[in-house]
Amino acid sequence: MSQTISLPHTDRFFEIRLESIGGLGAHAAGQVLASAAVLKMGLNGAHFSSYGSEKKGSPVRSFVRLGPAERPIRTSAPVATPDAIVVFHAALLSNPATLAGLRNDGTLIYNAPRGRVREELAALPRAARVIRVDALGIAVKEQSRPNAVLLGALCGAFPFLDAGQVLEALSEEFSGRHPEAVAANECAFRRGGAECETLAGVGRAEGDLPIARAEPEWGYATQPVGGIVLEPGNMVWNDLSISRTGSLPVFNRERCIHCGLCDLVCPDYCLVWDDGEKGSRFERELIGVDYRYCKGCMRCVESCPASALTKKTETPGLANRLRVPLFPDLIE
Amino acid sequence: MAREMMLSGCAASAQAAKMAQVEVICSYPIRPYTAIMMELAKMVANGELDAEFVHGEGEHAQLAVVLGAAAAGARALTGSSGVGVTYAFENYSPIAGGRIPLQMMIADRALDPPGDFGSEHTDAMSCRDQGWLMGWAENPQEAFDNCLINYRVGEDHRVLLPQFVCQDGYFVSHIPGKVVLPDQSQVDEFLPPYSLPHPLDPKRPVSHGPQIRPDQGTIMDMQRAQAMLDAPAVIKEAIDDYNRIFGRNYSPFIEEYMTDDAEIAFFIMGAHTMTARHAVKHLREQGVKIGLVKLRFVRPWPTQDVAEALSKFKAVGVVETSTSYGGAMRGGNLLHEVRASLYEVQQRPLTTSFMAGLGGEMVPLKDFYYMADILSKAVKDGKTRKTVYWVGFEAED
Amino acid sequence: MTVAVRTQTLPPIKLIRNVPKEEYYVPGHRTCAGCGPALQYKLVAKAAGPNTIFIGPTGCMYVANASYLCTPYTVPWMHAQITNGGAIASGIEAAYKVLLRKGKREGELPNIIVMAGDGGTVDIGLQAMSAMMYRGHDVLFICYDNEAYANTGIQSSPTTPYGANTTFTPPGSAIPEGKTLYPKDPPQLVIGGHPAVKYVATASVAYPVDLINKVRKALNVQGPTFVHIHAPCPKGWKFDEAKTIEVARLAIDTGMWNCYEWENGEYRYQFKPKKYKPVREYLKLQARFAHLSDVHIAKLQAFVDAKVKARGIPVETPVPTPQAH
Repeated sequence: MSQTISLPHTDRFFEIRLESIGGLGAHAAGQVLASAAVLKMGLNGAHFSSYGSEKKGSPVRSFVRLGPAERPIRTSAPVATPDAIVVFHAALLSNPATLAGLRNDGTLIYNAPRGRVREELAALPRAARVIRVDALGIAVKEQSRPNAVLLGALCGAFPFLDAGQVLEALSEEFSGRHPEAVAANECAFRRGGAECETLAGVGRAEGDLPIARAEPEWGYATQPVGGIVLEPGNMVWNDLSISRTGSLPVFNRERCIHCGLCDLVCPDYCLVWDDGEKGSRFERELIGVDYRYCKGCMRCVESCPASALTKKTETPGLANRLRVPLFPDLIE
Repeated sequence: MAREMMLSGCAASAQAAKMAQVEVICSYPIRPYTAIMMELAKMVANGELDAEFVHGEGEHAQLAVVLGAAAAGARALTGSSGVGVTYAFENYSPIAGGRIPLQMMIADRALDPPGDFGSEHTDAMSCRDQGWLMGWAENPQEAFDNCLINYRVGEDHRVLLPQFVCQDGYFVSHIPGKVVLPDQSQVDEFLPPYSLPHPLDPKRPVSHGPQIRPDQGTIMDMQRAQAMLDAPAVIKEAIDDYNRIFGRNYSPFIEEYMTDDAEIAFFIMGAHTMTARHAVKHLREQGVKIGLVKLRFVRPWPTQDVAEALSKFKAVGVVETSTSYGGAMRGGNLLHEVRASLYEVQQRPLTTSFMAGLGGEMVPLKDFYYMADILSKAVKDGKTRKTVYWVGFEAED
Repeated sequence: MTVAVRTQTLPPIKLIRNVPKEEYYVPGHRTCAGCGPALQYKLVAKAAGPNTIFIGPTGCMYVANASYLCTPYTVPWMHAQITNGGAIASGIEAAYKVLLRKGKREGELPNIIVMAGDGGTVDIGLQAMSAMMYRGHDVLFICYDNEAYANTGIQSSPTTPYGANTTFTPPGSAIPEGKTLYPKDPPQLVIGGHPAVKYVATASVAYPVDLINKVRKALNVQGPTFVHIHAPCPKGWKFDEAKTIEVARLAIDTGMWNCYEWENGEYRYQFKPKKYKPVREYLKLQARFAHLSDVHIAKLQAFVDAKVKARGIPVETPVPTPQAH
């Protein structure tokens, strides 16, 4: 069953960090990879994830540690200095913690369609390998999930990982509950390996990237006692745009009849209203969407009787261009 | 005008609650603390006390009701015994961690199995790590006094912790003793009105108890720990004021009796302290160099005071009325805390645990003579033969 | 000794145009995209206005909302254990009664609203909810029903429908239908035995103006009231999050959910279809029912038929017939 695989480094573990949001399958991907490594490739491996309560859109980090069979893995600390980082949702790249700790000669694989390279990637080490694959696009075409594509890309980037074994593990994972997904996953996996592009000249930093340390906002002398939140409604400072998964509602003011139905079905208070012009028919008028809070559920689109809100694919920068702020005095 | 009455511990506690002008009370019947609630119900019914008397549907609910009331800005009181105390357990940490200073009067009782109405400290002791102030009364007067003292300390903005005010079931809760009831003006001088820093009020909205990240949680735990560190200074202030205003003579954390040249001593809390005192007095008349140290606060545990007091002796018997199964040295929980307090002391006394009074049994004088005998033998031998003795039920070997 | 201390009357709304524009539940909360419970929370907060205190037992509307020392509420809010939403609310109400009576607070008794999930209402929270109703506290108890323990990863609760796939009731060869138990009926539990309760209503996010009006009516009534709100959960019921309103509407059109009010012994119904659509049309939108056979669907249809026949009155759940396969 197991053949001897030699890992790239003899003196330390090979460590991978998957950066994602809930709903894209990063946890399952880590699990599949680790079980393939341990049960099929004769390696020693560990996998665990960190996330809050289980729901779509909240940040998920999945960690995989691989080592030779005879070396016990004694740590379950998060992977702070990864050899490879796989980013499931490109919006996460705007958070420096996503790339933190990447080794100088490490690899970044990220999910994005072809096109302009994001500026945040300049922060990568010059010597790092940068691989891009349109995981969402392939997944949608093959009716699979991004995690299958990215696993394929990961195996393509690291030939020591036996792609056949990883694919087998992926199929076994789903054959029980979702047998119909197995074939689709296989296509997605293979395309992931075949269709990635290696980008040159992206990173401009020298050396390993520094490890991210969370800076707490409060200390024990300053945090309000008893876990009380003294600022009512301070949730408005959260930016939820990263939880969108590819589409957003676009507003056409010409068609709008200001009926208010969209507002009554939006759980997130994204729709921005203002008093109507003097003498206008409408007391209150819809003036736009604050995409800072929009999670892309499309209920507004579904309920609009005048087709004034329509579903469009989200391209980088589109939300910022169209955004009408809900609290212009507080948050630009 | 101050007046003297003969009151049981329960009746005295109810009087104290009335003079503290508690505003929301939540009841649920369980022996033996129920008598406190019955007294308060009468007071509310005939207009002596202006409070909302809420009939809780269970002990778990009782704690939740007073939590809501205290968070909204009312001085709140509840109580229980035995398995009622442990049924409510889920709420103890949210209340202490939320820093809501309400009071729970516990007339303690052995935990099931089987059903046993008798007194044991086990019920409240099982909850001692949640961040509540905790201490036992020796008699009905102390039961009265401890209610007021605990409200004052717990509600102090330097502390903001809830309080378990405990008394032995039956021995204190139901046996009348002399209680001096003060004048309301004295109580008002001692105990300021309840004021929470951020109550629930639509005019100043706040959110109580959101979800947090792990690092924020650590901070909350540190703050709770700090409050316990700050509490002793506030307790000392409160006791000084109490003694001055009400003419008592309490020392804040421990009380020593005939310890001056004692070689052996009992370390004890609660109702059986009275019998222990008698035993010490009689043994002294027979020339035994014995003393007694009584503990007033289990939380915050007065480590320094305990170490200083006990390091004088050659052997200490920790008299316990609570069980802790499988713990270090198979001793009870008081023994653990005593030994931990003595760890840094160079000349440590021998210590052993005496399980006495479990199940609500009386502890007669002869049992204390027996314990003293064991301690004297230990001093002669230079060591204790066992770390725990089940007094009255085992032959000493 | 108690004094009636609330004179506010929140007016009913006739047109969408009159829906209040102020929000007391602001965005930024970490609920899933298209969350049904979050939507009803927003509508309830709008209905209640600024003189309100919310109590949030543990659940999605706690964990997803007040996360990491942030809060979306601009009115006071307090966490409760999932067990004791009714108890905490009772304590707050009692405190306000005595504080107002003694002059330590000014104004009116605020709206005190418990926002409990189905588990926190009729499962682990049943005792506290019932006791609050029995004691007659002036509190509105809202059950937002997403038919599962969603926050912990979608486990079955007493309001999960027969035949639903949850992680505690997965379908398998030994138990093909998944969930074999029929659900409790929360408003009937309240109506059945609490003499102090004067108003009970059921509502749905499909009809937001009706929801707002029922909440206002409940808040205007002195004493304990109960509103049961259908709040579909895209993640738990496994449907496209854009379709939440459509799913909620179909629930009413098929009889799986009924909208009514009960006041002083009398029932009033809303959105009663002239002819009910077959339950199958509701089930086929949700992958949590995808495993059901025709036999199972027929059982569910029978249950729904009996329920709508005696609208608002408790029905006996059909005894499952021995498996014929």
